[in-house]
Parts: sequence; C-alpha cells; structure tokens
Amino acid sequence: MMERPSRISIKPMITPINVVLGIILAIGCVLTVLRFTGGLSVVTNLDDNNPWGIWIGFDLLCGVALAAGGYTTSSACYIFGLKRYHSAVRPAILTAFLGYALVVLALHYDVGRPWRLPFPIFWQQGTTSLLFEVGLCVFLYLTVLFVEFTPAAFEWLGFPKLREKIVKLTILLTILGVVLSTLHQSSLGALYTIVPSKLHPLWYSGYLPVYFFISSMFAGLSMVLFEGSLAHKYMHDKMDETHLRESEGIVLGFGKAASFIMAGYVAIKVIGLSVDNNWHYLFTGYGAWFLLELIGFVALPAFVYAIGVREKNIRLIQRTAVWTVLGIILNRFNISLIAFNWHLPSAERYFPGWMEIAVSLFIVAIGIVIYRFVTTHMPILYEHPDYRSDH
Amino acid sequence: MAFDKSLHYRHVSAEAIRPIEKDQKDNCGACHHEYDKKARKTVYVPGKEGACQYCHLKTDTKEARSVQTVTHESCLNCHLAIKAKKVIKTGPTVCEGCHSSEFQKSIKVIDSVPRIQRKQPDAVLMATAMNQAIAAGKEPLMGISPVVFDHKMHETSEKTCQSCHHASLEKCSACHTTTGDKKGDFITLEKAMHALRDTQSCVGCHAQAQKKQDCAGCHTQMTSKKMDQQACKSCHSIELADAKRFPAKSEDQVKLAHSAIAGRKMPPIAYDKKDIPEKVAIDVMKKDYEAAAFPHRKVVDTLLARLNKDTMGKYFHKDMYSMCQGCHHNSPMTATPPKCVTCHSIAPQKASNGRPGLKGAYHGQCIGCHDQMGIEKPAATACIECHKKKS
Amino acid sequence: MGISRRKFLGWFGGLSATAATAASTAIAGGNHHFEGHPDTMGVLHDINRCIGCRKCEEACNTVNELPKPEKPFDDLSVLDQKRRTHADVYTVVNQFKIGNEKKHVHVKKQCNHCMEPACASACFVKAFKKMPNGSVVYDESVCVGCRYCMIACPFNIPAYEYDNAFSPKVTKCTLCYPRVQKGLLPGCVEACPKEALIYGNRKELIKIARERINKHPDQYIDHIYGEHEMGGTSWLYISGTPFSEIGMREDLGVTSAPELTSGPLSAVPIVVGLWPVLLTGIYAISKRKDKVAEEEKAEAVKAAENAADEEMKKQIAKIKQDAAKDKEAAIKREVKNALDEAAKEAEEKAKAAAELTETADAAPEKKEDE
Repeated sequence: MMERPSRISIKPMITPINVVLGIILAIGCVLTVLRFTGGLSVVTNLDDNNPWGIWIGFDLLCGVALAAGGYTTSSACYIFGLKRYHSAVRPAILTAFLGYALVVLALHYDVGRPWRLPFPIFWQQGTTSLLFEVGLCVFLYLTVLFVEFTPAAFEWLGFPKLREKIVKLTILLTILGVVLSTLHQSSLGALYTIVPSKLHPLWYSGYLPVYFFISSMFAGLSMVLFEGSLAHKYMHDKMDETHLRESEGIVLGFGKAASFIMAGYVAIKVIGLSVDNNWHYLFTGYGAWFLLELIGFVALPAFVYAIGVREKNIRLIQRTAVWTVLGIILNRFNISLIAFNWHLPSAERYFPGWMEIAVSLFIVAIGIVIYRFVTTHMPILYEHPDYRSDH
Repeated sequence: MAFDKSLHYRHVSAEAIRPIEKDQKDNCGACHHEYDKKARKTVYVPGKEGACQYCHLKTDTKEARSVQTVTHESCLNCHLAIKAKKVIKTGPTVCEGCHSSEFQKSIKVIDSVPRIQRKQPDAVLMATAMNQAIAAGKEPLMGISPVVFDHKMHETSEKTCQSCHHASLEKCSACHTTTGDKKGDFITLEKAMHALRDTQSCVGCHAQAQKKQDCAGCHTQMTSKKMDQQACKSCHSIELADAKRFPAKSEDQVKLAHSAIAGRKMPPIAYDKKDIPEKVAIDVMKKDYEAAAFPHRKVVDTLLARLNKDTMGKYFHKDMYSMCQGCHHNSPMTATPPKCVTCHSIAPQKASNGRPGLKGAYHGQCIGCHDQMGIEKPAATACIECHKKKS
Repeated sequence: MGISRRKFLGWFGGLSATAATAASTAIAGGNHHFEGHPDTMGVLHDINRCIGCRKCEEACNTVNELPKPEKPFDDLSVLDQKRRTHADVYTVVNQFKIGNEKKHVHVKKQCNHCMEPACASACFVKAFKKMPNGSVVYDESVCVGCRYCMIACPFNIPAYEYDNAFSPKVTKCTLCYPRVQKGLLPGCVEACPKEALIYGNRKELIKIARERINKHPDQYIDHIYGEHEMGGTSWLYISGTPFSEIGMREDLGVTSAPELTSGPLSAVPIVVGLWPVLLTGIYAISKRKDKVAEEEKAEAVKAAENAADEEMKKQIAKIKQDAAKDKEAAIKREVKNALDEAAKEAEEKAKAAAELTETADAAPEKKEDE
C-alpha cells in the first residue's frame, strides 16, 4: 500500500518526553529482573494482611476502567448508530486494546506464577469466583479487541481481503464487547462484595458491581476525551480532515453523555448509602473522604461537563475529562487500598514502595510507546485513502 | 457505694446528728421515717425502721422519690449542714466521696459493730409448710426436715440486712409464699431459698462464697448446678423421728432451733494421715518427661488449713472425706477413691462426650486449682518444675 | 465448598467451551440445600483453659516440617507482641490483658476451616477444597498466586511466600489433613496439655460447648464463636472474655462468603442473555432508522433534481425562443437598415445565441443565478 509521506514526521529522537520514557523503561527493565528473580517481597511492600497493592489497585482496576472507552465508543457508533463518532472509534479501540494488554502484562508482575495465568481458563475453572468471571471476560474481551483492532493493522500491512472479513464482523464483535465489558467491569467491583468485614461500609455495598459498571462508562468516555486532547496536541499531524472536523462534535457529545451518566451514578450512590443506612459514617474522617470523592470528583465534574457542553467550551470539557479520570482513580484506590483494611492499625496498613510505583509507570510508558508507534504507522487518527468509502 | 453496718453504726453513734425531739433517745429518727399521708409529712415510727431502698426505689414512684434523689438530698444536705457548723468532721460532700472506690478505702471501718436492735430473732426454725398445716388444723407432714437458721450469726457475717432482706425486713415467707404470690413477684418460697443465680437466696449466697480464693480451687471446677441428697441434708438437718414430734407452739420451735444451734460443734477438720498418701507418682507423659512426684499430702494439708479458717467451710465439709471430692470428684466420700485413669483414658482424647483424657484431667485440675487459689509457683507454663525433661 | 451454589456460569457455554463442565454442575446444583458434610470434624478451643504454653505452635511446626523460628517455643516473651499467621507459621497463640486483671487470656489462632470457605469460593482455579472431614485443603499444583483468597478470608489467615520467586505458595493450617487420614489427632490438639483444644465431630463439639456454658454460666460468655460466624466454621471457640476483646471480630455476620457473592454472580446469566438481544434490537432499530432516512434523502434529492431539470428545459426553450425572436427582429431591423453586412451580422448573432444555449446545458445553475 501506498502511504502518504506527510504522515511520517521526521522528528528529533531526543526530546524531553522521550528521555523520561527512556529512563522509566530502563528502570522498569531492571525491576522486572528483580521481580522475577527475587520474588514479590524484593520490589513490593505487600504483606500477609495486604495482599493486593497498586498493581491491582492501579494497573488492574484503573487500567480496566479507563480502557472502557473501547466499548462505549464502539457501541455508540455501531449499535446506537451515532455515525458522527466514527472517527473516535479507532483510537478508542486502540487504547482499549493497549489498555487491556497492559493490564494482562501487569498481572504477570503481580501474580506469583504468571505462567499459570491460563490455568483458570483452560485447566480448572473456579466458577464460584468472581475473579474467574473477571479473568475469563478479560481474556475473551482482549481477543475481541484484538480482532476489532486488526483492520487497522491489515490496512497498514495490506491485506484487504482479511480486513474485509473482519469488518463484516463489526456488529457481532461490538455486541460481544459490550456483554463482556458489562460482566467484567461490574465483577471487578463485585470482587469486593466478599469482604464486608474489611472494606469500609461507605464503600462496601451490594451495588458495588453496578457502581463499577456505571463508573466505567464515564471513565471510558472521559478517557477518550483526554486521549483525544493529548493526541491533538502531540499527534496533530497524523490526523486527517474528517478526524479534525468530527472531533468537536465528539467532545460535546461525549461530554454530555458523561455528564448524564455521572449524575445517575451519584444518584445510585446515594441510594446505596440509604439502603445500608450508612449516613452516620459521613460524619467521620472516612465520611469526609467519601464526600470528597463523590462530590469533588463526580458530582462537580458532572456539573462542569454540563456547563462545558452548554457553552460549547471544548477546553473546559477536556479539562473536566482529566478531573473525572482522576476521580475514577481515586475511587478505585479508595476501594482497593484506602478504605480496604480500614479497621487495621496504621502500622499494619499498606503503602506502595517506590519500586511498585516505578513498575506501574513502566507499564504506562510501554503503553505510550506502543500507542505512538501504532498511531504513527497505522491508520488510526486518519482514514486510509484506500478504504475511505466504507464504514 | 455501700452503706454497710460500719457506716450505719458510725451514724448511730454520732452525737452531731442526735434529733432535736427530746423524746427520741437515739439517732434513728434522724434518718428513718414513714410517710404520714394525712399529715402530708414524714414521721419517725420507732420499730418500723428499714432500708431507704424499701420505699425509695430506683426510679420515682407515686409513693416516694427515687433513692438517687433522696440520698443526694438528705445525705448530702445533712453532711453540708454539719460541715457548716464546723463542730466535727463530717461525711463526704463531693461526688468522689461516695462514688469512687479509691476514696471509699479511706473511710474508717469499725470491725466490731454492736448488734442492731430491731426485734429480730436469734434463731429461726424454718418450717413454713408444716406451720401452715398446723394453722389449718391438719396434721403436719414430714416432707423434708425443717431448717434451723442462725439469724444472729448471719447478722455478723453480712454487711447489711439487705443482703437477704432485699425488699423489707419482714420474714421471707411473708412475700414468698409456698405457692407464690403477687407480693413476692410469684417467686415461691422454695425458689427464694434455693435460687442459684440470686445472691439473696441461701443457696445463691453460699455459691458466691465458694468463689472466695480459699474455696475457688475446687469449687470453680465443679458444676454449680448439681444438688444431691447429701447437699440437702446440710441445711435440712433437724432430724425428727416423725411429724408428730414437731412442736406446734412457736416458742417450742424457737427452743428447738436454739438447741440445734447450740449443738453445732465445729472442731477443725483433720484426716487420718494413714489415709493420705505422702506422694503420688504420675507418669502419663513418660514419653517426654520423668514421672511427676505429686505431693499429695502437702496438697491435702494446705487445703485443710485453708478450709479450717472458714466457719462455713467447716460446716459444709463436716462429713468425713468430703473435701477429697474437690479432686476425686464423682467418687463417693471414701478414703479409697478410684484412680483417675479409671474414668480418664490415657489414650489421646477424641471428644465423644467431652470427658477429658488423663493428661487433660490432671493438668486441668492442678493448673486450674493453682490458678484459682492464687498459687503462683510453679507457673502453669513451667513444665519442668513438675516433671523433669527426660534426658 | 460451594456445592450448594455452583450455579451460574453455565451460561458461558456459548462463549467458552471450557464452561461446559460448569454447566453440568449448574444443573446438579438445582434447588437443593446443602447443610455441610455430616461428618465434618472440627476443634473446640476452650479459651478459658488455654495457658499460653505454645506447645500447639511447637507441634504445628514439627508436624508440618516448617523452619524453626529464631526464638524457641518455650520462650514466652514472644507473647508480648500480637502476632498473626505467616508463610511458615500456621498457628499462633496471642496473649491479651483484660482490664485491670492480673491474669492474661490466651487465644490460639489458625485457619478456622469455614463450613463454606471464603478462600475456596474466591479461588478462580479451585485450589482450595473443603473436604468431607472438615479440612480446607490447598492444592499448590494449580495455584496461580493471585492472592484473592487472602483478600477474601475474613479471619486474615492465608499467608504467602512473598520472597519465593519461582514457586510461591499460599500457606495455612490444613487441620492436619494428612495426620487425620492416618487416624491421628491434629498436631496441636495432641500436644495441648490442658485439652484447651479438643478434636471431634463438629455437631458433638457444639453440644459439648453448650454443656460447658450451661454448667458454668458464670465462667463463659453464652456464645459459641464459629457456630454461625461467616456461615459457621469447623473451629469453635468458647470463652469467658468477650471475643471482641481478645482479637476475634464479632462483626463478621453469619452470611457465608459464597452467599455474599451469589448476587453478582447471578447477574451473569441476565447480562449474557439480555444484552445481546437488546443490543441487536437497538442496532436493528438504528439501522432501520438510518435506512429510512437515507431513502427519504434519496427521494428528496431525486425530486429536487427532477424539478431542476424541468426548470432548465423551460429556460433553454425560452432562451432559444428569445434568440429566435431576437434574430427575427434583428433581421427585420437589419433588412430595414442595411443590406449584405446586416445579414451577416444577424447570422453571427444567431451563432452567439446557440453558444449560450450550450453553456446553459452544461451549468444550468449558473444560468439560473444569472
């Protein structure tokens, strides 16, 4: 296939971003060696009371939630027929695919014997476990995302017939994606339904799976907006006219959708609070923290999104997207780390070590490098001239 | 706080609180009173004194204010008034004076208090059912022997009259009738005498006494519920050949009671040395340890010495070898009880009925008794002080 | 565990061939109620009887062939610190001082062998199993090391070999499964000098515990810890001190772990069954909507085109007519005014009109604008 020469930019290799990425990758490689030769205790602060740290709290929980843009965008475009969002689908699918791939990569660091990760799926199925549900769905969804992503690769590689076949599967894959996402996004929350005695009552609820699923929707939408703004800044030269023309509509549409979903989320959170009659906890320290999360990082951004949409203020919406993404991270951290084991004395609580944080950054850095490679070489932010007409 | 005999006597003998009324020759009228409904005032009625709580209940009633109100008012006001006169030292005028156990310790206690005179009997022949029969003109039935109650002795051993007379100074059967009455909250006389959980009943109070350190070694390990014929006879001790010999007249009954009490001779209990082996070798754990030389006679002598300090103890252990049952439980009173291993299997226990194996039985009794009787050496965990480690 | 509740993932049959096995057990699960294995054994720990000698710890260490600790087992200073189970410590005795009393209370801690274990319910590779004799045993050969069992355990018992890089295990008390199979007592029970631990049928143990409480109501709290906690445990405890004061949580509730997660799990078939149908429906509706919209659009365009065509024809005709008229008029005028030249000019004019018609054919809109 022919490529438009203008898409490949000739940029200097040594930029501040590249240097930072390079350092993180180098440290990550060293830590990888340490982790797999010395065991978890060498690089993590995990202990018997706190078996899950930020590799689960950030890499798994946040990773999966923030990669939800894949199913939200593709279902909006293909199932709900909102064709004007089409140019957002490919970047969203790519980031979702990368996100899930990195989640799985991170799990290899976290679990004791990563080479056995296929065991629960192929060897012995612990069907009573919500983690099994998560594992199976993530595995299947990663496959789905991979297949959804292949058209872009095939266009790049020049396999029009294969691409044709996959494109025909689009609707099936999208529906499958929504089903699998619903299941594993919610069951990530449901993982914690087994520990009413360890998770603070303000965060523990029978509705945990619902909270996780609904929050994944606006997490996904906000992440698409956030990535979009980053891509506009750093990858502007890779975008075609369609992408640029549609982007404003996408920002407004997604901002509005996120605002509505977040309002609904706040409502069911309040319902959950009432069902368990946990109001009195609001007047404790944890209560203040809970309100900060719910009001400061969900209700307020929802409101600001609404304002941004009304005033057609693209920048405001994009900034709110970052705010919302931080709120999701805060929520996942609260459930997995801060409100978890809340009854333990502070000496027995967990705080991540620098090496754990470095590994998490390492995995994010890998994501950025691959994203840059793919968007540079494959038709993600623009339509391939040979496949223009059909979608 | 407890207003005991000592405090009562100090108030009785205090010159400062002698009532102004000339006709009263003692202090009683200063506190004790009855309420004259017609005159709408309180008046002192000699011979009707009783505890404050008999009328002033825990909460306000139509008849009288709560005991909390009246004590704070009457006691405190009197103390303050006397304090104002600056004649002598007075009782507490601050909260801690009555409500702190620390402060209570500093209050002077008078050991030999003259007997309170309230026309109470010295000795009582408790035979309510038989007296009822006589009153109804029937032949009394010799169901169970009457009890002789040494009222005078119990006055000295108890701190206040309320220990037994919890609601009035009348005799027990006035409220607790044989068939139960509203006055006695439908608690029958039998219950009132034998209720194990109630410190106001005979049995209940005696059971409390078994918790004293000198008694607890054996009695803590015994089932507190079990009462056998032998136990009944300890109190139901008036032996009459037949019911016709029962004196119908109350003076004769009192005479009978006095003579029975006079006949109670309680010399120190002592067992024949021949019957008490000097040492017993115990080698249950011969696999790991040398046999333990159990100083059997030393233990018996110690127990007897502690027992003989206590009148109640002597009274209830007057049967030969009754004290042996502390360890040789479930055995008849004999100098040759069966060996422990007869019932306690030497084989490792597999709980079928909860009966301990031999090792558990020995350790349970030895360590349990040492623990209860405050014998600190050897410590429960100092294995080799009882049985030397096998070399 | 969980025979009572292996119900849900049969629905995955269509998604994954591996779920076929789950489907068969799902049917077997049905509506019957599983009350636990009748022969479930357990241990009754009478906390009042424990003297804190650590003989049980020593025995546990020996029978499980664990590494010897730094301080020997007869060093009781270890009790000064509150401890928990670790990778090479399956049981610990903790010491508690109650109020101002001189005496200490000692409590042994180890896996409670739940009737419906949280660890087994949480394990996604079925590494934990509740055996008919009550033991909850662990199969190292399948364990992935995700440590969700440790998250799930309400008693904080399973420990992990964090410093083992190649074959890290989860470790915990097995209720001496191998010894019990041989007819021996669990190591700790056998070693206890005070019989503060007794091993037996769980139902019998409950009776014994009740009897002790009834016989000595002043010496025991009227509660058997483990009879109902988290759905019941094989280990049972009685004590004279409130359990919450001796490191045993009384706020765990009586709901077993599998029950806690059954709600979310039962949502799986709903999602799997409902979503695809619903989403296909929505897709069909939105597609149909698009199609209708497209058809309407096409029609409108066609109509507009047709209208434009007719207008054009009219105009062309008009232009031609005008041109002809002009021509005639010109000829008339020229005939009147001039002779040969005038005739030539008239011919040229007609030519220009014809050209104009051609342009009008090519771009009628332009013409319209004009």
